[in-house]
Amino acid sequence: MKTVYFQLLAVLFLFIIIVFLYFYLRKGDGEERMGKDIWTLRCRRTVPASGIGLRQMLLFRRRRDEASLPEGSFYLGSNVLLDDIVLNTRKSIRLYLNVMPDKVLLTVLKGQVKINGYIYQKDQNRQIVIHNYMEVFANEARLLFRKGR
Amino acid sequence: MLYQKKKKYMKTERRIYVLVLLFIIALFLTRVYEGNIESAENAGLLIRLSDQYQMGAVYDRNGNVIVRGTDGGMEWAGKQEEQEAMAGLFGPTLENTYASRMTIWGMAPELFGYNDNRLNLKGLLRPGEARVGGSIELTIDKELQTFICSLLKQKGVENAAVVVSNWRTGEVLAAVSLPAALPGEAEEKISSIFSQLYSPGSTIKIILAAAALSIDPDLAAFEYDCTAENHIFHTEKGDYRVSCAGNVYHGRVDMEEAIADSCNGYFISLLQQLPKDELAEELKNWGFDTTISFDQFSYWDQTFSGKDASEIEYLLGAIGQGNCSITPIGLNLCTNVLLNSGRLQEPAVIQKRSASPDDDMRSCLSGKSYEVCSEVTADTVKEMMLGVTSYGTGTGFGMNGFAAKTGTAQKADEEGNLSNFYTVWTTGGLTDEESPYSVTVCFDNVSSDIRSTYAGQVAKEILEYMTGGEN
Amino acid sequence: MLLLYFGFEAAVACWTLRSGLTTTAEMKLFYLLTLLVLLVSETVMTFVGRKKRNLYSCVTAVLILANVGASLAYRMNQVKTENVDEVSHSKQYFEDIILMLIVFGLVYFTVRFTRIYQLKTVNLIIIAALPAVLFVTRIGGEKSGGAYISFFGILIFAVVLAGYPFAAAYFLSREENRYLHGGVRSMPLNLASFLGYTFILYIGCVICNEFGLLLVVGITSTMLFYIRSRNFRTKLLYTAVCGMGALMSCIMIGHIQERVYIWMHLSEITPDDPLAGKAESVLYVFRNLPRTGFWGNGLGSIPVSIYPTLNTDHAFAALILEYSLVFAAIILLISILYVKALLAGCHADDLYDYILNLCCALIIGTIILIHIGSNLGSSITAGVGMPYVSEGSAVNIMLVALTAVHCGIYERGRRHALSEEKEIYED
Repeated sequence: MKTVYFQLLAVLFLFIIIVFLYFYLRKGDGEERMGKDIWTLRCRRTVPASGIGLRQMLLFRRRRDEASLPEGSFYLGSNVLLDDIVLNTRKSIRLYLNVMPDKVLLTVLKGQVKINGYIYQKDQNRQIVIHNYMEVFANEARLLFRKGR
Repeated sequence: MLYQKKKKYMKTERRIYVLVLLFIIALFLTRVYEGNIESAENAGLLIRLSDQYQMGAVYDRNGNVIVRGTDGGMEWAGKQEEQEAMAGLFGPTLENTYASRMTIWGMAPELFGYNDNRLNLKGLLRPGEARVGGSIELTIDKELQTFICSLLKQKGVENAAVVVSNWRTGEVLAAVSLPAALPGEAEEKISSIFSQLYSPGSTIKIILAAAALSIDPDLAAFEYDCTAENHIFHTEKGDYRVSCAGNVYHGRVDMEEAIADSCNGYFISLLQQLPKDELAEELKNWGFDTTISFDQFSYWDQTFSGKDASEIEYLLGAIGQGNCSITPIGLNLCTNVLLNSGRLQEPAVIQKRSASPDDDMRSCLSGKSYEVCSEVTADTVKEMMLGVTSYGTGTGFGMNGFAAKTGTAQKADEEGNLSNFYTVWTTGGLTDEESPYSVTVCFDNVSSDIRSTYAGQVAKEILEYMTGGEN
Repeated sequence: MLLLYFGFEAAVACWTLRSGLTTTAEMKLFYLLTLLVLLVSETVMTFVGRKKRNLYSCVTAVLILANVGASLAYRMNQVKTENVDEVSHSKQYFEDIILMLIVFGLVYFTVRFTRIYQLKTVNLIIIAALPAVLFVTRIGGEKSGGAYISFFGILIFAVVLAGYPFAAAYFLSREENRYLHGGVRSMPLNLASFLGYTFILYIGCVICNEFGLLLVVGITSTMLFYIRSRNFRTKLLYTAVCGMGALMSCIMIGHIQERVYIWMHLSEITPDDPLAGKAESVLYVFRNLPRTGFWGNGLGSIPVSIYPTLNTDHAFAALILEYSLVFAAIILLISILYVKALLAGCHADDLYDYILNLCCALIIGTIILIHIGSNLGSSITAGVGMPYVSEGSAVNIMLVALTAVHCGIYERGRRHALSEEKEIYED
């Protein structure tokens, strides 16, 4: 048998293997996770929502009021494009969350928040320590930080 | 109220990865299909290809097969004398000459698949197809080549070189060298047409005349008194006597008469009139003391006097002796310049090529031409060459419209002393535009009884054969 | 799938053995033994990896590439003649395969079932060792081809890249406690430390003249930085600094300048060009591809004088010209699938594992990209081989170790995800 036939056979087998592996791998593709979720963030409205806007319809059709946070850093705010966790509030706000196993460090980058009766203005150098079951009021949203899933 | 985006870095990485890979492949494919990454034919590559590919076919200008590749070798067509006539031009195998461009094998890399392109649908659908090289059609006329070879053998010449070309198109119609060898014989060597340097003898005078007229057109009227006293030439190292052939004295001659009678004294004297540097520059246009290579082939560089030549060697250059040397093809091309009004048409040995057996043969005659000297200069010298066959040294082989020049050069032995052997030449061509043929005949290592007119006779017979005796 | 693999292996074996190459019986034996070992591995993996799709896919891709590598090693075998000694690449490759399998097993089980690699002490040792290896190599090593590439006989390329993912994961998974200029908008200290450490490795690579390693570390660290850095301005500044660094190295370092010139002016380089010799290895593919066509010239057709590193840096060129363009394209697809498997969505237990897994995948992917780019003339030439197809014990072992790390992390994460789902379901 000529060498070229073995060449063709090798190519054919390899091609079939590739097709098989592609669909095999696709089915088994796991969900990406940068670590276990160690904090949960719950959100509730402090004032009723006014009207139904396009943004409301497109992004917040279903009221999602919970986010799971693994270890790492995240931007929480009202900018749909730039922020990792988007908060639907009238006034714009941006918070930097540094999630650690025992605490969350919160920094106000835009707007203001109220924690334990105290109002924190925008200050990128200040990291506010958030412990378990602490509440943060940001515009008309109430954010509850809870350890665990 | 709250919406958490899922960051999928791995997915993003995958996409970036695929994009970069696609860019790499796209750049590669663009460069492949641009197709302009070429190189000069590489000898090592050609030798390797000759092992991988079955050689294509070689045809003469009339479509007759000369040689065809077979599985594992090649098959020569025609009778023994035809094979003998052609084999010398092809030369030894690629490995032996390292794909020299003085052999047909080296001139035609497509024979060994160099220009084969299998990146097409046919190449994709036929994986096991045998590799066969392309074919070429030479400008050589097989019948003419065979005729010349037989003629030379009839004349009893052992060492000869004959080039016949079309001075208007540059096509080489025949290139025969003796001793001939059958294909595959042990004594194969590169054809002396391209590789052997000979002293041109008096044939250099037509080139020297053209160069002189290019420097100073008034030199056509330069006269020299060819007497015994005037054949002593003064140099820094002393006086040197150079006689004319047969110790004949021609009396007062001008350029035309000097060419016709081949007066040595005239040309040495003329040489002494010319500024050395200007002459050297002018002779470079004719291919002397420089490197010339054409698209299709190359040949050994010709020399007029060379570097560091002594004064005597320089003077002897005027009569085609000393360091002066030229190949038969080189002299033929110089003759073509004079016949073609000062322009050299790009010479060609191959008129058509195909990259593979399935491709059509395409013409590879470039049509390029180079101005070597002015039309007036060339035509003036051409007229003088007509004088050679009308009333000069070439009357013995005169033919209507045959402008020629004869030459005889005495050879030196191994110690550098003059021997009793000569190289005799006749170079010239028909001036008729309807029969634009030039012929250069060279007999080497002949005894004194074989004169340049003998070479002239052969040249005349060749031209008569080609024109059917019309001239 | 096992049958398909067997068919492929048999076809490649017959193709290789019937290519008219001159070898000894011993070389043939080692080649066949290599194939046997690979077949046994695939058989084991078919049963063991039934539900472990990612593991199975990674290992199968590695085995397929190793098959091609074994064939290429066989092609490179040199029989003893008057001028050359006998060199058995098949034997060397067989030994490499055995080592690779052992290392894969060890690393996989270590990562899958233990967390020794996450210990601070272990990571600090690795972090200290990598620059030390580079500097010791420069000071005490032997120069080879203008570069100091071996650390006590092991390529520094393999040593550094084997430890780099752990160092990167350590730095990037540290707590983000402090920032360079005080505020959260500036670079966190852990990221700055990572960059600083990488810069030390860069210096080590420069003094050892190992630019292939520098390229891989550079690209990997850049990708990791972009992923971990949250500040756009920081990313912009980093890009500008890297760009400046790259430009300066192109201008100031002679051989990089030459490589960039060759890359940009590939089609304009004539045989008279002073760089023609250096560009030859890239130009050879373009000049010979039309003649080669889609189906290759056959094994053994490329002279080793053109490609002395045919079985290492120019393996992909060998695949294109000798094996065939079609075959090379399919091997490229296998490589892409391999990288896809490595970059599959990972259910990592913690950030350290996530970064470690990502870094391993990036290193392998980068090596493949650089190798293919170099061979196709689409990027500057760098002395980087094709994973498993190119010979090189240390590098292939390093690659298989990184693959095992990925498989271990992925499998552990997958198991934990499954058990979490089960818990939720039971709840």
